[in-house]
Amino acid sequence: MRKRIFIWSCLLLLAGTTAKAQETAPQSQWHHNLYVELGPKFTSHLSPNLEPFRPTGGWGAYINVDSRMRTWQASARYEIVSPNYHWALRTGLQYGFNYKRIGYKQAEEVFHTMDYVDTEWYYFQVDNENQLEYLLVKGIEQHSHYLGIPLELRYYFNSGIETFRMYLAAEADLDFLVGNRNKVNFLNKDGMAPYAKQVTEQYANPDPMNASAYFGAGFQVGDRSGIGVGFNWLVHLFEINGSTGMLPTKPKFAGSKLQIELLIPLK
Amino acid sequence: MKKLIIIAAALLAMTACSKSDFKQTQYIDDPDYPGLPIYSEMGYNTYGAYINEQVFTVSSHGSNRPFYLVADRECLTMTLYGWREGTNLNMVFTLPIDSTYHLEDYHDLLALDGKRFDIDTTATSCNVKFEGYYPPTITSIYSGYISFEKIQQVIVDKEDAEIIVSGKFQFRAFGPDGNRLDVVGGRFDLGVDQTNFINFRR
Repeated sequence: MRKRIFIWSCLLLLAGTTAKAQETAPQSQWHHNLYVELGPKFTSHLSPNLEPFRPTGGWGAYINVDSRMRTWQASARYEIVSPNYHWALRTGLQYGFNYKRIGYKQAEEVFHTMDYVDTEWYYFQVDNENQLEYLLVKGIEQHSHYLGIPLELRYYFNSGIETFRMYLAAEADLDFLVGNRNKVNFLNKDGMAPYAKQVTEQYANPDPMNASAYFGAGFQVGDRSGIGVGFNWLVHLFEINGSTGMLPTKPKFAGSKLQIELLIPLK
Repeated sequence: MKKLIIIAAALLAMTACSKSDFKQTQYIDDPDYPGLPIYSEMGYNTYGAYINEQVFTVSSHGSNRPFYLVADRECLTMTLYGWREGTNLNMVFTLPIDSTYHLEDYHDLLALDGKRFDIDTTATSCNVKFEGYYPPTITSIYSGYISFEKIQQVIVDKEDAEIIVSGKFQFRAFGPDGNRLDVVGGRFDLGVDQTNFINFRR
């Protein structure tokens, strides 16, 4: 008798659970979105190797170098969102273009140097065993192209407004170098191209792989079931591996990235 | 007279405006020798020494080289325009150069690479004198040297630019009253080309 009661109880419980599950089926569905994202990455870098530059500042012998790094990233990402619209996991394919330049900086008066000779180029010393050899260089550039895989975890807050959502994000990027070009702008262009390697070989090329982690926040505007746009700002936490090349970056808190995203819900 | 005209022409060339800051003095302080430029072999157009503990150093930091070299049949004269205690003081080295050196052109200075000349007026014809505003007078030098540590050619964009003459000097001398004059810590790093090398050997 007890055995029969137990079997009937189990059957009723199963039937009830199934019925409840059928009722809540639309709410338990995971949501799928596609994103197109674009934005700059701001990276602070350490001073480049200035040894090859001849000082041009006169008294105080000042090396007036302007070094800059810019990165732009674009990605297509797939997102799967939990049924309660809080947790989301995102991944996809990311393209990155990294531009670095060591160039001339407008001279400032240094100490008593009143007769500073204003030039827009440098004496750049290259290896030569028997002589002191310089090339007149206006700037050195490094153009690096990356393809990467981002993996991002988001937590969406319920703001109470259907068309506005804020979120926290943690992201890890694995970027692979797919192309690199070093370029030297010589003052005298004629016939100097073959000597570009003598200049660029004094600077490192980017490593073939770069892994970095970010944490940040953002918001989205638009109905969840329709097209939306969003912005996010992610702080660079640390870099696991990979030199970015001729301008060394800080391994931790090197900068941040700002991205605008276009959300396309998948049915 | 001819010498004076040639030197005046050379000085005029030295003061001519140059678009190249390669001729500019690149002065970097030597922390170990306060008041003096570092010893360098880069053609920074600097020099300096302590004269009885007073700083003698390069007088100009503009786009003009404040020194010149003159070669004749017997000597190489190196004149360094400088300052000591806020007043003009020039240091003039006269070195015996025999015919083996063939200093016809500033490139021939390369032959002096690594050479050292003892400065002892009692034994050699090497001499140093001062010129300027109340310059110290040297009657005899009893020990010292000037050494051309490194002389090298500078190439800019694959073309010849200048010769760098760098080295060190020091000497002890007596003045007219028998007072001692110690010149120590001397160093020079000079860029030389046709504008500040004069040849009277021809």
